[in-house]
Amino acid sequence: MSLRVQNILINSLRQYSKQILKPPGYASPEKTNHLKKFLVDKIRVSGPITVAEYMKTCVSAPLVGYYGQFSKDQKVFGAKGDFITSPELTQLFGEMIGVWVFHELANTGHKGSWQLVELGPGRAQLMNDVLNALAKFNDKDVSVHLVETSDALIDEQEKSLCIYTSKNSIDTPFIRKNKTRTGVNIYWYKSIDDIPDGFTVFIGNEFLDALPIHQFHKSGDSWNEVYVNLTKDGDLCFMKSKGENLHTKGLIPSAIRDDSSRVTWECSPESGTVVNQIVDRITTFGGFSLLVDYGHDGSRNTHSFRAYKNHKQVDTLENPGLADLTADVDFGYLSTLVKDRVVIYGPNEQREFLAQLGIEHRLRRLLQVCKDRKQQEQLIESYNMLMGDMGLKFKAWALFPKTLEFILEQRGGPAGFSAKKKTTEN
Amino acid sequence: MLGRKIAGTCLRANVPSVAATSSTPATQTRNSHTIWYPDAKFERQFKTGGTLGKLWMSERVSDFDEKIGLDKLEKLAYSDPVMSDNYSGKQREKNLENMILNFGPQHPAAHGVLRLVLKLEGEVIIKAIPHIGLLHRATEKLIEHKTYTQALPYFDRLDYVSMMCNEQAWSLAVEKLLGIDIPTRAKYIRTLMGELTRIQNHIMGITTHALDVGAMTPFFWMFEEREKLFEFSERVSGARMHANYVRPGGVAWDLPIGLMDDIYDWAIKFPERIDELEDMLTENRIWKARTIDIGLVSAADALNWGFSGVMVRGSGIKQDVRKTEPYDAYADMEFDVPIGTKGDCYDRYLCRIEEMRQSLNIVHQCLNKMPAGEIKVDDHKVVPPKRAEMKENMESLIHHFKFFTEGFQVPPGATYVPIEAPKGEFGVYLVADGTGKPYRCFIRAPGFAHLAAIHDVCYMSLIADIVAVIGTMDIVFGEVDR
Repeated sequence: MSLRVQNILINSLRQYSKQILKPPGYASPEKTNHLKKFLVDKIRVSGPITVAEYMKTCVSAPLVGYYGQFSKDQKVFGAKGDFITSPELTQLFGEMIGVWVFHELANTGHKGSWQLVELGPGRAQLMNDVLNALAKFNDKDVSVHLVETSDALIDEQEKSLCIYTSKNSIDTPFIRKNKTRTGVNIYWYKSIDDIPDGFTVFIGNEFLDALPIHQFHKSGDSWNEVYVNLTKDGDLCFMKSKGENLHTKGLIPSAIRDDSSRVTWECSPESGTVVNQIVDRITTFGGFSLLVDYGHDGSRNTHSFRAYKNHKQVDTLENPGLADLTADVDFGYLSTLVKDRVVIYGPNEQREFLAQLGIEHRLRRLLQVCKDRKQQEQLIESYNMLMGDMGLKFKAWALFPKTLEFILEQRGGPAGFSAKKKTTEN
Repeated sequence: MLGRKIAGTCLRANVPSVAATSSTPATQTRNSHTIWYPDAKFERQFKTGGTLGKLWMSERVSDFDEKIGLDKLEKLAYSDPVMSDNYSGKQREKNLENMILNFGPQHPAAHGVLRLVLKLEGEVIIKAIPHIGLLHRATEKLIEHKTYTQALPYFDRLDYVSMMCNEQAWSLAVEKLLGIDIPTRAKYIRTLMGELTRIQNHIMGITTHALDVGAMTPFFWMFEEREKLFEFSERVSGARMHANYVRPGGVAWDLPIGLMDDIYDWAIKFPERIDELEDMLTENRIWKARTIDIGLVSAADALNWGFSGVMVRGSGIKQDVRKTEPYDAYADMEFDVPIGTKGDCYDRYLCRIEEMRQSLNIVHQCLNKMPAGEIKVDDHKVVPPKRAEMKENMESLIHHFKFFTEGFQVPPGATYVPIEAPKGEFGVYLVADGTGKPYRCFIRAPGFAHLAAIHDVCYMSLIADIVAVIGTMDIVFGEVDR
């Protein structure tokens, strides 16, 4: 019997058999998670998958993905969750961003309505603080637009921002519409493309780092991509591609190839797409963007793909869908994509950015207002965290349309970025 | 200080919300992809003198601000040096802008459609940028698609105050390529009409110049004479201005009977008119104050900038195409070429007056020496047969038909033929490729070179003087813009 006929026979057996074939290393469904089973099956059927695909599936698969599980046990963000973000830590961060947005908006000379877009709003703590800050300025022209893919998180965001809840709407570009506590119209979208045209301000905190990355490794002269494969026991493991593939040839720029000191490189084409969408909008309809993220200016020469569970770093392949997968954002790479169309400021350390905006004055004011000793201590603690460890790791990165270059030059850069202009271009 | 105003008083506060309504679809039409620019008025604040730090505050003045005097404080802040935005106390240098004045194209002293952008330091011009092209008709390109006969009327419309001189340049260029010599009578007629045209042009040039600087009377007096010259033109060609009279191979028609007598009658009276003009201007204190030492052009500069005609002769260089390269009947004429000494507007005015007298001299010589004979070459490939002949003779009919439909072929070659137009050296550079239409025609207009140097001539002069300089350059936009 030829090999071919044998294959057909096995396939037809599979097709008609009611009994589930249990490959070696297969555990019963109760003990393992569904996502891992799915991934194992997928790899078994169609071969190794890229790190990007693995990451994408783990993070955003419906129901079983990391953010899809949000409704089941609300433990993603915050002290009880797996990681904590700056706005969750303290209101100071969101207020500073709000003031920055308002100040920069005024310095573009724009009059009339404008849209405030947040990418990846999480539990909407940041937007809440930003809107509180904006409410102080009595701005009537703002409308808020949130880009969120997870329905569970949309519910959560609505709960935190609005007084009443509402239902998803059909046949509209937005998927939900409501009014915030401060009386601002708020809309939810699945993608950036659905947001209506107009002057737009983009903000995003810890958004880009959750977008899938491709990992590359150099051996000898050729670059290989890192895949996720199965061990003999049926566990997930990393492997290198045999040689160059479509991604290594298409994504690795010549500057990286020519750099002999480079052995590893990470790249997130999806981040590039998002940044390009932002840039298209702000150059066409006006606006600017501020993205704060864990990242570097393109100088990092090691892999940064990692997982967090209960505030501890864990193995990335161990519990897919249960740990937060993240990678450093390569601002240097993103800058090269758009530097011909926008003026880029940063990446600038978050602590420097916040310090230049005068966060310590705000802290002092809050301490005066706050009477409770314990709350005061808490405030100082979170401030120290924001400006200490996190302040060094997180970077602020701002984009402005090229048409504003002259004004920004005259002003000595936007607030929070003075004397730090275009460090990535050096 | 002003930064405290942030709360409640923002640039955008009271503008009614158009609302980023989600009802508008996110789709863009194909042509809507434009680039966003900041508000021009807002951007301008950054380009000129600024305010303290917060530049964007300056546009918001509420009742409350006025009551506590914030608006006045702001005006004060405008005059102060700009503080850098990061409050490090460094004072940024303030940009000062000079006033930009648009002179024309509607200004009556702009002589047509000149748009002159003047950068002023007080009342002194520090930069004069001529913007041309408002009367551009692509004459040179159009000529490439016309027969040699059809191209001629375009020349009337180039310098539309010295029509026949332009026609002369074109005709001479075509004749040179054809290698033909025209009858003596035709040459004399051309010279006669050319000189009448020169007088007519100078009447226009001098009197409008005077009009621009404030003397209206010479304009009215001399335009009466100009009308008479138009009548001569009408009698000889049928058209007052755009004559289409001087044609390759001679002139269109012979002079009508009695015209020479009438020209003579006019020519013996005209010197008196020139005297009247001079009485009004030459010793006039205002005229002298407005022209002497105004628009000075040194001899070296005049040559370097490619000046010609009165603009170069006024600076003391004796250069006249009629003398250096005599065309038509100028070799037989006796006349003087007046030159200036200083190169100012007054010298050029005197040159023009004297040129009119010399032109009259030539007119008299033409009238006296006018030979009898043909007024066209006897080659019906190049000139159409007479109308009477065409009615009787079959061959002439064919020639006539062929001439006005196909035109005539000019042997391949290139030539540059200059003439002394009233404004300077008017040249036609013509490339023929052996077909009935020119391959390329370039027109060297004297006014173009003169206008190009207007910044150098007017640098550091007063606004009123630029009017005098435009007048003295005798710019006509028909030839500058072509």
